[in-house]
Amino acid sequence: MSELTLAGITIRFGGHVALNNVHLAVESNSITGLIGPNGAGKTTLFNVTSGLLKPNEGTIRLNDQVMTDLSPYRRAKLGLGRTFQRLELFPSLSVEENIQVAAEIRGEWFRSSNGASSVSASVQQVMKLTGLNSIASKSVAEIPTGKARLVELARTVVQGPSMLLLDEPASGQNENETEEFAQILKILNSEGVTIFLVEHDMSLVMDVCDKVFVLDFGTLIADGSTEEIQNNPVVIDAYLGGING
Amino acid sequence: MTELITFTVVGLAIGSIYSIASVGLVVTYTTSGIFNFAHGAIGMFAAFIYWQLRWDSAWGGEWPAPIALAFVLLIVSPSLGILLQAIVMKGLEGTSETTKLVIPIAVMLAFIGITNWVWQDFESRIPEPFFGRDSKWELGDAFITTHQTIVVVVAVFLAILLKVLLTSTRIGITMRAVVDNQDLVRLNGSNPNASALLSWIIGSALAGLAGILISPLLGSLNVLALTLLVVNAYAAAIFGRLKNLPLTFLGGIAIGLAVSYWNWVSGTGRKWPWLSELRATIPVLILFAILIVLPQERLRGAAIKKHREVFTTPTMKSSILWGIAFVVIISGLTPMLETKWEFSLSKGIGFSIIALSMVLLTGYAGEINLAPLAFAGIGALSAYQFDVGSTVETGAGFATLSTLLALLFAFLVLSAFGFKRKKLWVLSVSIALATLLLVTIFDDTTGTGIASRESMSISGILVATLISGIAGALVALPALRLRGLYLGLATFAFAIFVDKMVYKQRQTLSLDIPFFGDGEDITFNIFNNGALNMPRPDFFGINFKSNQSAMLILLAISFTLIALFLIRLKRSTYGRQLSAMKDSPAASATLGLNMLRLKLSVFTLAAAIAGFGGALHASNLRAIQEDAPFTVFEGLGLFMLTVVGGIGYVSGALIGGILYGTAFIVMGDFWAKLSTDWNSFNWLFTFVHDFFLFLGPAVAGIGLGRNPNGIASQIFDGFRVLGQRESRRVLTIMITIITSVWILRVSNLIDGWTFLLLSLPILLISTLIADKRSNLEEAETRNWELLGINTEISMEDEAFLDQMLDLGSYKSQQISKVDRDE
Ligand SMILES: Nc1ncnc2c1ncn2[C@@H]1O[C@H](COP(=O)(O)OP(=O)(O)OP(=O)(O)O)[C@@H](O)[C@H]1O
Ligand SMILES: [Mg+2]
Repeated sequence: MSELTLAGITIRFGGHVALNNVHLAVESNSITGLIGPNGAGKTTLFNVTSGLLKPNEGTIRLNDQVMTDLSPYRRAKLGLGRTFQRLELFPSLSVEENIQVAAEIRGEWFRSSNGASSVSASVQQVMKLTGLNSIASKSVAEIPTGKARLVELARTVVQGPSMLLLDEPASGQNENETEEFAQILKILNSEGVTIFLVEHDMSLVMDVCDKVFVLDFGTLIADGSTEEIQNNPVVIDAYLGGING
Repeated sequence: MTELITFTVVGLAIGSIYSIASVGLVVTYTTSGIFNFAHGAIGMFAAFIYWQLRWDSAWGGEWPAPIALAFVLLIVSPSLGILLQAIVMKGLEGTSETTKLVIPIAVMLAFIGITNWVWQDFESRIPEPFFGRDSKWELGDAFITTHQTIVVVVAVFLAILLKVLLTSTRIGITMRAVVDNQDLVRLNGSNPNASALLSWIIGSALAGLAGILISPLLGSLNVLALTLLVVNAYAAAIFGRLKNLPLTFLGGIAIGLAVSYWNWVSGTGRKWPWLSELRATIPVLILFAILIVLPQERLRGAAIKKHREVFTTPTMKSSILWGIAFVVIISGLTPMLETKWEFSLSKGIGFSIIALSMVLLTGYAGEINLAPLAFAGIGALSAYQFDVGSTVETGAGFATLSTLLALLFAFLVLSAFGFKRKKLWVLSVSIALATLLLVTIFDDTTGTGIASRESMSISGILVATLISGIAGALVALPALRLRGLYLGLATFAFAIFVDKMVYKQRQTLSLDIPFFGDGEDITFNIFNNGALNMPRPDFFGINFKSNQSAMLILLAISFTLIALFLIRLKRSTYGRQLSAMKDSPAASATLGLNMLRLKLSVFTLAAAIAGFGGALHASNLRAIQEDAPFTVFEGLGLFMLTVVGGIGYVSGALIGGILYGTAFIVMGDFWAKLSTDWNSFNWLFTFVHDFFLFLGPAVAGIGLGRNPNGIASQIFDGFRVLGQRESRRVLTIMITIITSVWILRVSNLIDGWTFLLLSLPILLISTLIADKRSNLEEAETRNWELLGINTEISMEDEAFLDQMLDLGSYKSQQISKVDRDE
């Protein structure tokens, strides 16, 4: 069953077509990759999915519920989480508070009775998973980018999403960090979280993804398993074209 | 037909002037990215100089019109533009929205200050229209003055000229490119600063022209009225979305026509007396409407700032200690302050309470409100109506109204606190019932009406707080989607609206509440005489009327309690959500934060705090007038000085309020006293006195408004050191000395001045000593060459590097470009 379905999504910025009639489906409980040269429209696709942008055409479904017209915050409530390519942390808050505020927002959706205790329990759990305990009280402005990516991940994971959109989570991470990150993704996935991953680090994509979509100039040019994509001439051409042009 | 022509021509003429002004505004905005709040003030200033050259009998005067015009428009205004760009506005790109607003506001207040200083006496200065009042020609049966004709022709001519300049000359094209991408312009070999400079020159000249053209239509020159008139051009500029010159031009004309036709329809305000001031508010109503209708900005993340705000929250324990210390110090001061000084200090703290509303709204939540004093004024008026307004004919009606207000208020505020639905209702209803109890049972007001009391009651203050809170919600509701500059302008429009429709209101309003009483239940005389005498409180068995010390302490305690409440709030879920919303709206939205609900709640709460402060403040002053202390300009001044103090901290509100209400006046007094004591230096001391009085706040704003963290954080850093373990000895010695000096003062062995002269330096020196001692221990500096090699790069480092390499503004512009293109 597919978790997330985009049907005929088109986005225009003035005359520029950033996404052109994109159809794609992310399978439930998969780790799916989305790759493509710079400016292909990957971030735009995430913005549309999370509701920061309204598509000019097309529909978006999460678990068969149409959410094209829902505001971002309602989509979050339905179990959609995301991170940002350009970090969007809350610099006035500490690492722990960044995660805590997300947990508290979740607590309010369901107005759970044991609010405070369940919030701190889930925060602790996520911090343990992401290994952020040692820097819990630091201001997020002071921590290195690799760690900041983890905070963004933790912040959305603490809300218990069923579907995660990760926009270049490995950029700014060193090799060790990326490896640990891959482990965390696998753990999350094994716990039933569907992951949709935009990434330029091909080794990460090849390591974790079950399936990959390729976007170029706003158009979906290929999809398939990681091996299929690696050997697909169209894809290779798009990337080389990107480099040459 | 004749009337149609007459009113159309009048509208066209006024509209042309708005167009000229607003086009100038847009030109500077598109090239420098700064919305020049001082635009109107520049026009006002130019009109005064022009008057001086043409008509003053003492100096200048008698200059021929063309020479005077050329002098003002080609020399004075452009020089002002150059000065502004070179000294004040440069380097503002990439700073926070608040800074970008505060600096131009400071400049505006500076122009107002200078004009008031130079043209001090209350002489009536009447500028003549071009070619005199009698020069006119006939169209049908209608007369059209030469002045009107000239205005329209000049406007059209300028519009064409500018269009040509911007589209067909090299410099003009560069000017348009600057905003889009400074770095590209630089790469292409053009100098972005040069075109920014040119845009400021053009902008100031256009502002000056508008000022000169409009002044004869107003009668005698008036600083504030002239400044506000050009403010009306804001609506036109927003209509052109701050970038489209033809639309802006048309917008100006349309607004002029709207005002003129309204005058026609309403018989110049005679037909519906209650709305007689409406014509003055039409442009701001249009501004408000356009802002709301305008396509919304997309949610965006935090741009990388040159100066990032870092507001830390103190712990609850230390806050409580500081709060107690504050009240103790103020109480300790009372025995040695003359009543006059106590009054000055009370005034400052009164403003500080109002400023706390801005700490919550702007400092914590990142929402800009340029109308803090409008809400304060609504609070003061409501308290007055409740306690004194002998015209309020009510009984059960008012009680019911208050209860409903309380219910609504509680619901609005608490709905963002994450309570379960049932608890939310229980809490709201309890608050409403408590209000009912207070307003009826504990007051001798049940029955036929509220007695005209001699004092302000607790229930009066409560009702004032509720009403201003609801007013806040009513303003916020349509403006919920606005942010930054646009929200600032919307609230500014509201402040002007209140200025005109409330403080200038001379009519009586009657309200019939359904089901209660018969006929008109509430009758308001808002400002029949242009002033209201506010009563002092008389509760807790203390008569605050005769006791200024008690009033001072009451204000200090109120400030402390609200400040502690805010700090507690900041440390709660609610406060964290405010921080999240402020730091990154995009991330907050995708994390599922209902920002509309949160904004409505925080707006309501902040307006309520302002209203509470306004009621107490007005009561302390014993009066409110139409021109003090709650006008739109005073609101801007308070906003500016609170930013100077540190808008992210409650102590910043204290500093801002005291600067605004006390400091500059006391400093002025000090120099005035010197000038009488040392007569031979009279001229010098008088000059310094005048400087503080007229320009003090503005200069503080221009000089200190750039530091987004404000004075408060600097002072804190100083005191933090004193609080450390290593500094115990210094602290003990300091407290001992100051206490002994205080005892000397209380037993009248030394006078007030000596006390100040002794204790302030001791305070200062102790922080310095403590600071020095602790600095010796941590003399560690960063080694930037090794960054990334032996240490990891943090976001802060990255921001710092971006700033050093001048990339910060580039990044933030990329984002704003994306927003604009959309
Ligand atoms: N708000 C906007 N207005 C105008 N153009 C935009 C906007 N957002 C994105 N674009 C353009 O749309 C295209 C796709 O951008 P997008 O950020 O989605 O690419 P991307 O695949 O995420 O690239 P990268 O790998 O560099 O992150 C780019 O050409 C970009 O310039
Ligand atoms: Mg991207």
